[in-house]
Amino acid sequence: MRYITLFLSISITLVFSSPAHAQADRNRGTIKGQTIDRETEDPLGFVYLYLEELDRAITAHGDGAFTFNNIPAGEYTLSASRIGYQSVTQVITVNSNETTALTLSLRPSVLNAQAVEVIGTADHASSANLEHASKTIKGADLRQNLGTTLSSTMEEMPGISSRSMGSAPARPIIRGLGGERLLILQDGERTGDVSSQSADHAVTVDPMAAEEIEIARGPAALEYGANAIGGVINVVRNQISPTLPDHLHGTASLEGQSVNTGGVAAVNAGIPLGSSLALNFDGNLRSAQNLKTPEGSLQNSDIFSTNNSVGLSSIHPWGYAGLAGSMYLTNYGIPPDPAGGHEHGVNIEVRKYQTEGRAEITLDNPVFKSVQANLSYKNYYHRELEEDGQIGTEYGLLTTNAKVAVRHQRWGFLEQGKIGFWGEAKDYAVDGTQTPGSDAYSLASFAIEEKNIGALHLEVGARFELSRATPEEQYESSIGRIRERTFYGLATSASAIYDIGSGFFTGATFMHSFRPPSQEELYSEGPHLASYSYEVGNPDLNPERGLGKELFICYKSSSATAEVGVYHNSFNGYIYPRNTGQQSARFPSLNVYQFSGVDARFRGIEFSSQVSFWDHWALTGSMSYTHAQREIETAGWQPLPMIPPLQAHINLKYASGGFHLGGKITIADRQDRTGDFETPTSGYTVAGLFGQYRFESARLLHTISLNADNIFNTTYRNHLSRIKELMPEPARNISILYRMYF
Amino acid sequence: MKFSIPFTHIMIIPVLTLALFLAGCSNPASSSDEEEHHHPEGVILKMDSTEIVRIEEGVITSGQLEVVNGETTPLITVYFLDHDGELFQPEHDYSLKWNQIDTAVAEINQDSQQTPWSFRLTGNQEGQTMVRFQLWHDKSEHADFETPSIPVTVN
Repeated sequence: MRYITLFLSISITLVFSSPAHAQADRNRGTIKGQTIDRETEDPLGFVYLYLEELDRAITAHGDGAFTFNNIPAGEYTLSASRIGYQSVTQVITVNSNETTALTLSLRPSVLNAQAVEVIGTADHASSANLEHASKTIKGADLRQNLGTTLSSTMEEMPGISSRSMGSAPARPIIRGLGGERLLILQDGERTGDVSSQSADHAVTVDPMAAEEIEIARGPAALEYGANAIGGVINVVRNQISPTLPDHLHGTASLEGQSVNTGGVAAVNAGIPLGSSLALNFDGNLRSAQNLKTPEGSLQNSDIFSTNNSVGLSSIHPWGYAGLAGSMYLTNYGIPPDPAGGHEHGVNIEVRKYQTEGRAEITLDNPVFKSVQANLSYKNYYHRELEEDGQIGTEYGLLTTNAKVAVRHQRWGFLEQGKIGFWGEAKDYAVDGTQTPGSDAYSLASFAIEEKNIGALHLEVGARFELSRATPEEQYESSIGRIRERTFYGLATSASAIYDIGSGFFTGATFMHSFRPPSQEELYSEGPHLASYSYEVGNPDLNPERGLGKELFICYKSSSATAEVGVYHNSFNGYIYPRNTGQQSARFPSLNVYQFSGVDARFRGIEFSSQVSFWDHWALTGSMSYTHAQREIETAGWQPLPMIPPLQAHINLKYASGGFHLGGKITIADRQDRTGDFETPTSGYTVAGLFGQYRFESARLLHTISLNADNIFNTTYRNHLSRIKELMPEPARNISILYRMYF
Repeated sequence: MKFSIPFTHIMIIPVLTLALFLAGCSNPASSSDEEEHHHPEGVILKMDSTEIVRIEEGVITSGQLEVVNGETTPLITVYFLDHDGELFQPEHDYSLKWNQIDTAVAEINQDSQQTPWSFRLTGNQEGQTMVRFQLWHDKSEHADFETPSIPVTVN
């Protein structure tokens, strides 16, 4: 691995020092604009402006003024969003050595950020507004749903559920798919933790640090992995700024919750240093006691964490280059389970250090628009401690990722796209088990292309991936022959979206995924106290191949959105840890979980809508259902474990001026389609209230969010909780979040 | 504006520093030495050469621990069963640990004169409790094996 990292680093250095990117600033222009309130025509500050094709973002001054400098001549999609206003997307043209002036007027809206107003021609509207498989949580929605974990922050979105095991360890599930089939990224980089492999392992991303959370499926997901048939979740933190801010900007936040007597303080800021350097930093500190439930306190569910980063970038007419470092430290508890193998619970201590470098060079080329290079390194370690302080199991994972990608504009038949190469080296070790240490190397090339043909928007993507897992030594073990395994395969995806007219769109997405077995799935053997399991890998596992199909129809207007979709995902060799129901011979208090590859299929339906009425009211609703099965030779098609039940969310909101108030209800059906040795769960209805107030003073924007969850103190159980037999979900919770934008 | 040479030099320094940092790290969960681990498949407890408890494949196939209230048993010795059913006791780097036992009912004692695989059981109060033994690897500070909970009766 040393040679690989050295090679990658020197490659980056060579890229930086190559004269090829030394672009003259001819053929560049400037975008200078003003954001205003459409009703009052007053200047509107703190608008977030995003230039899609260059992936550059800035925040408008308090007086609404903004400037993008050094933009290569061409056509761009500029989106503007702001709390309490409907997002606007506009296509603009930048000419060489000219300043493109524009005024963006945003309309006050009760709808959330998903409702996008598109300004421009019909052709452009099709491409800008039809990224069906992409969703974003930001602004008021992000604050209203902000939870202790990334997963709890997202769980009110249609099709998303939360696999949990107490307060801290939780991971999102999309349409019943989780683990390695769902990639979690931070600023486009893999998190480098072990959260995908076990329910007790936390995701090392704190939602408090998120500026926004993006979800993508289909062709766009292939940039990040061949296995992400469930989707890609990207937490945008902007550690390395691609644009030079012209003033100090950022947020400061304080949050408190009653259900765990917890609180979190956070700050993030960006500041210009001289004429070409931008410094970004953020940090947060979270502390919470045991979670309260209607049936009592959930013992050993406390959490203490801090997540901090600093990034420095150098921004020039030719592009930008930057470095960032971050650390994530957390201690959290796994509740005791006398029947499950540990009567006193387990404490988990996690530390992760990350460094990354990124550069993007814009090119004065009729075809290639820019070249981007990323290099990141994560050093992850966690240990699981028993009540008396004895170390149960230790996990270490060193991950190095590198990516080089080129964006292109019109190129023959192709309209725009991205082509790139990606590499990963992972050094994985587990102490306290018989699992051997192992390395894994992956190389991939990918291409994602877009094309508009009249009202038809097409996206296609392909990714070829080669992966090799190498154990420290090769030997015969009780789980099979531990040996090196090499896998390769092609993943493809295509998406077609057709603008029917009058705000209606329809489309289909296909994805053929490729997922090599992970190191833990191949080589694991040993006790894992915190997940109540004795894990047994299978060194003979074959890659998992998935075929996903999706059809949808949606409607979007300035006052309403609606979408209904059906999907079918089938798998050949779906890998999951099967509870055998047998006690381990070496650790009899733990059941054996055997990694197996079986045929599986997931079918489901999703619906979501949002409508505004009487000027100030908005009604939002969503529903999702997944029916998942795996094939067993002796018993035919049987239910898969840990599949969410039929769920619906209804949300009514009133907004006026800086206020908004509302109520929400979550309804879930019972889940009695259970896997082996899995407990069914009853249906439930849970109600909540929320309110937000925003005001401006002294060029600062303040928001105060008040939430009351589970107001009737209902006892209910999340089917995806590994501790649902022990305790129900949290009791009534009052939380308050104050956030100041400067 | 041209890309400046000084900036190139400036970038080389942090990138090479990063490279050295990356190349110098080792996995914090890796075992630092070539440790030999034992992975028994069963346990036998003997008292005065007589088998009193047998555990195979994680199941107690025979026996339990018994002691008279206020008295202490003779030495009880732990033997492990390997894959071939042969008895063994690790020679180095291992010790015997136990947990779960309610010391108000009974307690386990080892003294320095005994082998690390022998103990005595003392009855403190009539009743029942449980005990779970672990084959403890001293270097890595992990259990390589543990027994199911063995019933302990104080008569």
